[in-house]
Amino acid sequence: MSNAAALNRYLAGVEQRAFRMARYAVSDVDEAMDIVQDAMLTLARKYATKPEAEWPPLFFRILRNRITDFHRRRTVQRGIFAMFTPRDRDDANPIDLVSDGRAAEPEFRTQLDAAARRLDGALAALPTRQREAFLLRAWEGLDVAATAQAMRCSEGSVKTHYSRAVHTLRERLGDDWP
Amino acid sequence: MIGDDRRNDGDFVDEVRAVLDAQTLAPDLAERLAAARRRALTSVDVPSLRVPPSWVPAGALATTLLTVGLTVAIDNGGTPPLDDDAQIATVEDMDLLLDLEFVAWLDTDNVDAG
Repeated sequence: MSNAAALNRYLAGVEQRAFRMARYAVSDVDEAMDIVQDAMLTLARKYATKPEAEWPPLFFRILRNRITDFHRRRTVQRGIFAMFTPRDRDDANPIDLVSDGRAAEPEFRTQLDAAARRLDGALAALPTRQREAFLLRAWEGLDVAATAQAMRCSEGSVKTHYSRAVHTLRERLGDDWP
Repeated sequence: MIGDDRRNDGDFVDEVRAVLDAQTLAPDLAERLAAARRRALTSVDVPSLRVPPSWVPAGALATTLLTVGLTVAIDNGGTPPLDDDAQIATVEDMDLLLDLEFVAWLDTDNVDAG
């Protein structure tokens, strides 16, 4: 299989999760789209010849760098308070931002949607590092070493962030979730 | 799993993953992502065939002709052409020989008689 075909398969499998991770981080659909597109482009240009096993940590490191770049630009634009996570600076309800428009259609608010919205809100409210560690480990399925590589931190830090994220999510969602 | 206090972290994470996976993107967003992926893939470097530099064929031809020429010369019983140094040495040897003959002639009685 050529690199392009293998890369297409990898990106097709990961792009929607990457987009939603980016959207949790920046709370803006178009910005998240640009970030994911840029991350895909960079992976294709620079790392397509790398072994496939190296793509996940590389891709999410690139994605994370682009998200960091976004927040740096916002910091310049908005001042020092924009450094905090979206929940601290955004008037919009993060749950509405990640519900794909279904919040406007009450008839489709099934139990699963309600659970998803609660989860989205809890995830969006997590500190950035905790959210990154949790999503990369629990959702993307990266192991501790790959997550540490993607986040540019130690494996011990990954374990700490992940553990705190699980604890915080359980606390916020409560025992009745989902 | 409502109200299950015995739920451990592993079960909780499994449920989170299931809820996340159950959410789908709006079709327009999914299509925008797919289009972005297709654009990204066009930038993947395709290994190109290596074209040899333009001087390589000319060099190969010259080497071949030289090899064939030398082989034919040797096969015909001829001696390989001398290189420049050998040719210069031969000419100098000839001059020296002529000089020696001239000196010898001077020593002969023919000179005195002249």
